[in-house]
Amino acid sequence: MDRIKPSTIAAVFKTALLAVVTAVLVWMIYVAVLASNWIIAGVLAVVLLGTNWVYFSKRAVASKFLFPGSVLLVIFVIVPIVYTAWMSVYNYKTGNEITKEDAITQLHQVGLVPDESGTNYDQVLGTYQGENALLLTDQATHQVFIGTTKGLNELAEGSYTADKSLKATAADGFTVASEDQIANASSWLNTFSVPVTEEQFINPQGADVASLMREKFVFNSDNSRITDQISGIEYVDNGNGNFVASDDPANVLYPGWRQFNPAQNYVGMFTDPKLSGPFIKVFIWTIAFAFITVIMMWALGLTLAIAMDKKMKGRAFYRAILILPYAMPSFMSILIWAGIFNRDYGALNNILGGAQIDWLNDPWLARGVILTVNLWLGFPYFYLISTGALQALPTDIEEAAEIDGASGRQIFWQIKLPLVFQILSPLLISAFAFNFNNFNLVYLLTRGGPTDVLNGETAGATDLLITYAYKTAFGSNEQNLGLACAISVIMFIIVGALSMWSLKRSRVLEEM
Amino acid sequence: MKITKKGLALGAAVLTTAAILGGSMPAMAADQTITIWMDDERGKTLTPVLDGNTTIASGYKIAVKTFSSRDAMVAAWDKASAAGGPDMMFDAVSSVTSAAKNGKALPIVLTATNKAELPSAALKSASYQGVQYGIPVDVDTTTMYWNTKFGKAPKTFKELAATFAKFKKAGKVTTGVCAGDGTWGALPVLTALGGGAWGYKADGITPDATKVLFNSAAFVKNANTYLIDSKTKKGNGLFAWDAWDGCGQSFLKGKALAINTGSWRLDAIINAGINYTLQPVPTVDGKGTSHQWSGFGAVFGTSFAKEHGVDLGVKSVLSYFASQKGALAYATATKRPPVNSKIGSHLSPDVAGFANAAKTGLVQENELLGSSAGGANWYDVLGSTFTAAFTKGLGVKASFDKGAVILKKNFADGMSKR
Repeated sequence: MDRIKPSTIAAVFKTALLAVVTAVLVWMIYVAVLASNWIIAGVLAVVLLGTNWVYFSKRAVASKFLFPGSVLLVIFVIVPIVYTAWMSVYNYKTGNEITKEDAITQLHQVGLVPDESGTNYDQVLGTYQGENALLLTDQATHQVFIGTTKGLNELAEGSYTADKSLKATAADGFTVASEDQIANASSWLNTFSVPVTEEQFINPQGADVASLMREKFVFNSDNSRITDQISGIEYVDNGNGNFVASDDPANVLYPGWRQFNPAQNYVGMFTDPKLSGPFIKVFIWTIAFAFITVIMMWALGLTLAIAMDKKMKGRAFYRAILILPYAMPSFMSILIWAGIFNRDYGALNNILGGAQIDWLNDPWLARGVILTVNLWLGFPYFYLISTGALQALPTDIEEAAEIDGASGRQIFWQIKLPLVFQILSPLLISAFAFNFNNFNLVYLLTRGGPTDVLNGETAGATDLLITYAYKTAFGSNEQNLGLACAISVIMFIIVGALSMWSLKRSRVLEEM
Repeated sequence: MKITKKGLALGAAVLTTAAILGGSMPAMAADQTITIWMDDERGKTLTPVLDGNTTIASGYKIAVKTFSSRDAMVAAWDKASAAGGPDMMFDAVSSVTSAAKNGKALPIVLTATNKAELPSAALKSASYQGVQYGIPVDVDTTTMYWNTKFGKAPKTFKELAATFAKFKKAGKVTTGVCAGDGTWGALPVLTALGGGAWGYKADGITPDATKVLFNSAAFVKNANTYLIDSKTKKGNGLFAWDAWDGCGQSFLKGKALAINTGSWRLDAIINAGINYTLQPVPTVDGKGTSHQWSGFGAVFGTSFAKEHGVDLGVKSVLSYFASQKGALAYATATKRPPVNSKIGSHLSPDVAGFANAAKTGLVQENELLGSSAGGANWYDVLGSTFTAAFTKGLGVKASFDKGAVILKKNFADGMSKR
């Protein structure tokens, strides 16, 4: 028997893999179409066609390697950035989440109100003279009617059958709907209305109850106004996602809608005292924290790396010990540290003889705790990369410096340190960017606090921009997603600009 | 016809794809199913009652989707759209009002029978801008669990303070009364000492935003007398507000006299071997009663139900939970104190006990408590005020006066949105 060629096995494997990928993508497109998510369906379709073209084509060799990464980059990096930037130019917050069309539809529903006396009817679904109809019993007067889209006809006694509670269950000429018919009655019941007077009508409120209703809100699409027919109040579009009373802008109708308002969130961030004060304070602390923490971690990591660079007894053991904090999940470490620093039950205050030092509720102590805990979490990484950098330095430079009479201190400060710094620059910059957005540390340890609420502070002493944005977006029942997106965009620009500047300064990009 | 290698591969790929897809496509046609979302706590008790039910709403089948936690459910709800979104949800009334504000709740019309079954304050809490959206089904309220190893529960706050001083001196306790649910659960201690949040208008149920009781003279005097250590000018430990993870654990270890919390801690307290009695936090002179917040849990329909074509079925299910029959089925399954007081005689002693405790509850007005018009909401103001007065020793009057200034603005703002 001939041996199967490796190329045949590869082709079969590739075909099978592509079939699986294609199947998954087709399934996802189908689900997206069912959900009317046309943009997602379109993107998936492009990915589907692209995948099959790239891997069945002999010409697209480079794309075979670049395509998966490019797709993931677009989906998980580019799209979120673009979407965040897009949402930042909307008035997008609690009460202003849906589209204007949906808001008007919802307001129309909300504006269907029961009559003042709350007249309700027991209801039986069925047909009358070949039309959909309701057999209605007034719950207060026990009068019985047949309701159709043409109107309400009261039935005389004897022309219907009632149960013990005087609810009519059958009537002459009325065919009661079967269970299956009731289950499928939504299609007509949703729009079914029995006119009673010019203003009043009866609407089903379920399968067995109906209510006498009237229309409170009337929307005029010509001038985009809503009129409250009961109070006479005119509601106008305020240009910021809500209908408000024309003579009282504080009288706001909800739901509102997401209104495109490009400058609002950005201008407000710097001009609204409620936002600008905390923003600038948080911004300064974020820069300071990211800078100080990286310097501290690097200093300790490098010091330990230099110490461990010398031959000594038990060096392997010490090295293993030093990277242990790195091996432990950071959230666990942070929670343990939070316990250690607890004022009442914490180990540290116990060690200090039952001291009542409020580590996490004093602004400067809390900042110190944040830096200390992050130093614990981060120094092993800097120790590892510093060790690698030191070992990568060419030994002949050090030997040449010694021959030229340089002291050990001079060799370190003037030769080794600049070289190590150049090697580690990209990692220091990425560490800065990471700590700029170090959400987990701050949120698990202090939740951004302490916040001096009684003296009017709204941002905590240890809040970073990322935790401040999170609190703004999700910190209370009133979420301001548009503002949070704007803060995120500012953060993205700052981190991106700092990273580009630092990379340029360190000439890393040119030498890569 | 010559079959090329490439053609063969393509054919194989198409066949394999078709085979994988076969039978795995979601159903295109929508059925008459009402999907109800609930958290893990309600899910484990209500699923046996509701899931698959076809009788509550004739012609509709109920499907229950339970989430691993309330947070998971709320996160999913925040992102929910008509595709995959629920038709109904069980959650706190605050979710009903925020859903209404966001246009994601289904307005309903209450029948006269519904209105007769449920207290107007509870119904109002599940409404927004005068429109009813939800049916309140349970009461989240607290009461004081007193650890009987320290003797009988005190009848006055003075007696409570004396008991605490005695056992603290003996090294038996570190805490007197623990607010087991943090600042939310601190109200009984405030009201027991003559303080609180806001006053009420003549009808007794409408908050009066101009009456801020937070820094009342009686409270300041009593707090200085009972909660402050005369030497350190800081808190003496009689009152702690660091919630379940803090003083709550002290209570479980027998290091706190009492904890103020709800029925949701019952199992943990029993499992810790604590023998307890239930009663309100005693007032200074034993007259009158302290008060705690009473929040309501509710069931409501979503705007997606209309898009799914099941809104009438949803209204029937809501009507069921508004009825005595539905309320009893819910209370029996969940063991939560019901809003519907007419089913009291059918409840188990535990549930009835908490339902009884709910009678002294003040309605948790989320618009007032959640407002941060003054700079921070009720919960954060309390935390900062307690820290200033009892941890930092900055003085009860000075600290509570500052807090009251913020709260006054919040209450006025909340009333305008109520």
